[in-house]
Amino acid sequence: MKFLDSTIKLMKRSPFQVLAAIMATTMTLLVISVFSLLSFGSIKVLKYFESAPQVIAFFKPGEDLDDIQIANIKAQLEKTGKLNDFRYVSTREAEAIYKEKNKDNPLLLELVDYNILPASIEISANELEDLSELNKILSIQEGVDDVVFYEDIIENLGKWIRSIKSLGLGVIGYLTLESILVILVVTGMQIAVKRDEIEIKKLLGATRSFIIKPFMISGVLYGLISSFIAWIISYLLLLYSTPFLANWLQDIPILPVPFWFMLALLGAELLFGGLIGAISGLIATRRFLKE
Amino acid sequence: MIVFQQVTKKFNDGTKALKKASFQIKPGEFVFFVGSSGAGKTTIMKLLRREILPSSGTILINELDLSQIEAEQISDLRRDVAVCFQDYKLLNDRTVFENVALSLEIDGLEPKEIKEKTIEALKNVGLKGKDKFFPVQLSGGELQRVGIARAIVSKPSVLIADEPTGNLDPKSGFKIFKLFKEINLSGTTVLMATHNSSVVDKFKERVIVIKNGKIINDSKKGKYQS
Repeated sequence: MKFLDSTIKLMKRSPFQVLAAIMATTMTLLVISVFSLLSFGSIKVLKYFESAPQVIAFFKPGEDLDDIQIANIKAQLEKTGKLNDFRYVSTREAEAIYKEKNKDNPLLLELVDYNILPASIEISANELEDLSELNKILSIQEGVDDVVFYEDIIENLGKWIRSIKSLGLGVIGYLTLESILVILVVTGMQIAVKRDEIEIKKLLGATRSFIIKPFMISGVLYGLISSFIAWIISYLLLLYSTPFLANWLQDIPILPVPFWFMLALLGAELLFGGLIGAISGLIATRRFLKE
Repeated sequence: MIVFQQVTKKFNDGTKALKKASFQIKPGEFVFFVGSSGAGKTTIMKLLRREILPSSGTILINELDLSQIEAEQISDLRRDVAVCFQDYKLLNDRTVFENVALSLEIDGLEPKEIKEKTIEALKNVGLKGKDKFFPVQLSGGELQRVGIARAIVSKPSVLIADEPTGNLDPKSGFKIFKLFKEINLSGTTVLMATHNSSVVDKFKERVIVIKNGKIINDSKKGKYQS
C-alpha cells in the first residue's frame, strides 16, 4: 500500500508525462479492442457463410422432384465423399419461406404462390475446394434451371479476414512498441527528476527492488488505467453502432456482442496493458538506474 | 569490530587518497578522524560503507570483508553502518517525519512501528513537535538533528558522521557533538570526521590523525595533534 502511495505521488508530480503515457497506451489498447471485435465478428460472419448452403440448384418454377429423383441426386453427391449437407426445398416449402419473409407486405404475398416458385436443392461441402466438383454434378441434373455458387464469395471473405488480421497485427505491433517507448521515456524522466532522492535512498541502504518498485508500479498503472479507458471507449462505440450494424448485417447472428466476450476482452486488455507497463518500467529502470 | 589493514585507495585520475592505512575500532568506541581537507577522512568514511572499493588492503566489519560482499549485503551494511552528512542530504519535498521514517521504510517495518520509532527518534534528538515541518522551515542545527534522527532510528551498530558540524555555528555544532556523545553512550560506535579541533580536544576521545592519506597519529585519549 505504501508503495502505491509513493507511486501515486510520483505520478502526481509529472501529470503531463503521465497523461502522455496513458493516452499513447490507451490508443494502442483501443486499436487492440477494435481489432479483437472485428476478428470476433469476422469469424462469426465466416462461420455463418460456411454453414449456409454453398451451392443452390433451382429447378423450373412450379415443378417438384419426386422422392426417387431426390434420392438419386443425393446418392451421386454422396458418392464423392465430399458432401456435408443436403436439403431439398419443395415449391410448397419455398412458398412458406417466401410468406414468412414477406409477412409484413400483403401486396407481395398476393402476387406470388408456389406455382411460380422453384424447388431447389441446397448443399454444402466439407471443404470449400470441393464445391466445384459438387457444383458440376448438380448442374447436369435434369430440370435444373439455374445454379447459385458461393465459393468465390466465401474465398474472398476469407482472404479479406486474413488481410484484416494481418493488418491488425501489424498496427498493434507498431502501437505496442510506441507505447513501450513512451512509458519508457516518461519513467526515464521521472528517474532523472528523482536522481538525488534515489542516491539518498541508496546511501541509507535501500535495496534495488525498494528503489525501482515505485517506477515499476507506475508503469503497470499506466497500462491498467489505459486498458480500462480503452475498454470503456470500445464498448461505448460498439453500443452506439449496434443499431446501424444490426441493420447492415441483417440475418448474420453477431449482435449483440455477448457480455462475457466483453469481460474476457477487458481481462485480456488489463493483462496486456499491465504487461506493456511492466516491460517498459523494467527496461527504464535497467537503462536509467545502473549500479 | 572494524579493521583496516594496509588499505590504499587510488582514484582513476591517479590521486592516492589513502596510503596503507591500518587501524582497529572496537564496538562502542567514539573515534574522531581529523586532518585537513583532502587528507583522506571522507575516503575512509566512504570505504566503510562500500561507496567505494579499496585499491588494495582489507576492510573488515564484524569479520565481513567489504571487498567480497554482494549487492544485497551492501544494503544490509549501509543499514547497520549509518551516516550523517555535512550537507544533511534530506528530501526537501518531505516532512521531518517522512525523512526520518524513510530509514524504517527501507527496513521494511510496518506503519505503526514506523510511527512509534520515528516519534521516539525525533524526541531523542530534541525535535519533538517538529515532525510536520519541511526542511526549508528548519535551521542548520535542526536539519542536522533530522539527519541524525534518520541515521539512528533503525538502531545501527555504527554511526558515521562526515563533518556533521561543517555548516553550523560553534554553539549549534557543540550541541550536535554532545548529541553524538549521547548516542555513543547508548552503545553505538561513532566515527566522526571533523576539522573542529576545539571540540576534539574537549571530548577527550580517541583521535586518528590523517595527513596526505597517511595515518600519522592514533591517540587513545588524545588531542588533535596535526
